Amino acid sequence: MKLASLLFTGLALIFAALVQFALTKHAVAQYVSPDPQALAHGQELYARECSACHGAEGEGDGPGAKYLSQRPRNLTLGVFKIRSTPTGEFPTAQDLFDSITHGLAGSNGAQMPSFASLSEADRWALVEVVRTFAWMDKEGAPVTVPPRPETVNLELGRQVYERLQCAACHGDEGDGDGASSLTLKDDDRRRIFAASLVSGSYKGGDAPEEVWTRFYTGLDGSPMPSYAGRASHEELWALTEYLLTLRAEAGASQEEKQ
Amino acid sequence: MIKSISRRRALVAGGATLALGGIGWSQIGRAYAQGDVKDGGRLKGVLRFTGAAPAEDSVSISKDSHICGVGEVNPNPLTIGADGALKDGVVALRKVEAGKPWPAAMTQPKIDQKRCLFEPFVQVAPKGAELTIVNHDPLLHNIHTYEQIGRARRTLFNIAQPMAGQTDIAPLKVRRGFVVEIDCDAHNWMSAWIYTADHPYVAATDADGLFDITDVPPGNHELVMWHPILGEVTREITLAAGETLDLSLDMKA
Ligand code: HEC
Ligand code: HEC
Repeated sequence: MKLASLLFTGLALIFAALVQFALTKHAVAQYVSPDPQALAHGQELYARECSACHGAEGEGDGPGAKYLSQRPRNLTLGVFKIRSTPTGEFPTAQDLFDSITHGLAGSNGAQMPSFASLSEADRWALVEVVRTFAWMDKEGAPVTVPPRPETVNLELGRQVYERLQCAACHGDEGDGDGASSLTLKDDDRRRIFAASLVSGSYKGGDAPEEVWTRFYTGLDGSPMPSYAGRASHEELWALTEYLLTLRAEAGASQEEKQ
Repeated sequence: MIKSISRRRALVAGGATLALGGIGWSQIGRAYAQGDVKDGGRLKGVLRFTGAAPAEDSVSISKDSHICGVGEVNPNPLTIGADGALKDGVVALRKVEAGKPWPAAMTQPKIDQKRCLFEPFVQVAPKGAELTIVNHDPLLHNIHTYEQIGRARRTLFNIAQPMAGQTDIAPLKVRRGFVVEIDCDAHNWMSAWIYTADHPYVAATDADGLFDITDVPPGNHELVMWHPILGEVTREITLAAGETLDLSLDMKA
């Protein structure tokens, strides 16, 4: 009896030491899902829906990856473009849910498909999988979008676009052909171009608040920087209205041509 | 701005993390214990480059010439002085769990952007340190920092500074690696590096290739030499109580 319990304690200690060793070796603990059941379900879904692009271990190296001009995100690095949180912070779980729902389709190519066809519960289960890959033990705190003013000052918006030098990358007309656009690289050291602000869709959605949030927090993993605090609320909203108008006008002239 | 909103809500039930040894990514590895060092030794000497110099990278200054000038620059130069003395190298110990407190001067890393170049090119800092970033140029720079993990890199933060005089403070939240790469997407020739460490036994070499690391706990250590384009070399050293090791270290291309 005594011997058995001694043996057991001994084994338990060895196991604990092994875990500790593994942890210090990898220097970081695996994130543990608060809902193991959702995670298990999500992992099944992930294998079926996502691993062909993102890879079995989430490293962005699935068999389909080589056919895409932008690499499927290496989810283990914990860096995300579409965030309501400041640059350098983790996104919120809601941000991840929204990216899975809508996918990411921008002027750099429609790459991450939408999974709106999956049930909500399925998509939340997939959020758990993404957070586990990313060792995301915390959520970022979202920035507050100030209320959208009722008056629109497009001339101010154009001035802010100039003063903040968006044109360095996005070009004077917003076509994505600024002088710096030719030399941009993403985190994977692949060529990337500044998004066209006149055509194509936005990766993070078209709603005015979403557009505001994109340039306020930046698209981490790409050259698009955060402009948090770089102008007053009024100016940043004027800039947003200017961007919305650029697209609306381009859209209208496109329709005229057809 | 960036700093004041970096508070985070804990998402994981405490129990779950505890079951795994209580280590969240924000507290990577074992924390470094600061205190007095008994019989501390000293590691000093010179780092040299030997062998044939690698081909020079060269990028043409293609825009903003009124501030940035004209011509070609090497974003990551190999600066070699008399007798092969290697500037911008880093000499560090890999793992020290307890030792001297961080000297205040080392805990406040700062980087300046002047005439479309970063200054300094290489510096050292504690992991997690708050980096002060200043733009002196009347045009847009965006300071984009990445953590290197093996061959991969991950953005740490990316902040636009469109105006002269702008100052930001942002943390170097390195998770697994040591090397922080810095660039400016708006000016592709701008490049700088920060070697981060868990403990203060780390130094960047000066123009004479010199380094001097004091109050080192005696014993066996893994010594790391690093340079932005030469990569990393390690070797074992043994330091007796109170000993001064005068080292002559070499790196090759
Ligand atoms: C057809 C290939 C493909 C499939 C299938 C796919 N993805 Fe992606 N995913 C991508 C690409 C490409 C990107 C990078 C897009 C970019 O950088 O704009 C990406 C990016 C992401 C991101 C990062 C979003 C951000 O804000 O940076 C998440 C999270 C993600 N995918 C989750 C998933 C999940 C979960 C699934 C399965 C339900 C999935 N993906 C299926 C290709 C794919
Ligand atoms: C250093 C270059 C650079 C600068 C400066 C820059 N951008 Fe961008 N921007 C990019 C890149 C690159 C992308 C595309 C990112 C991607 O597709 O992953 C982008 C994407 C965007 C998007 C699309 C977001 C989405 O949901 O798809 C918007 C909106 C945007 N930028 C607005 C701005 C505004 C406004 C400014 C000035 C205040 C600005 N950018 C300055 C490089 C830049």
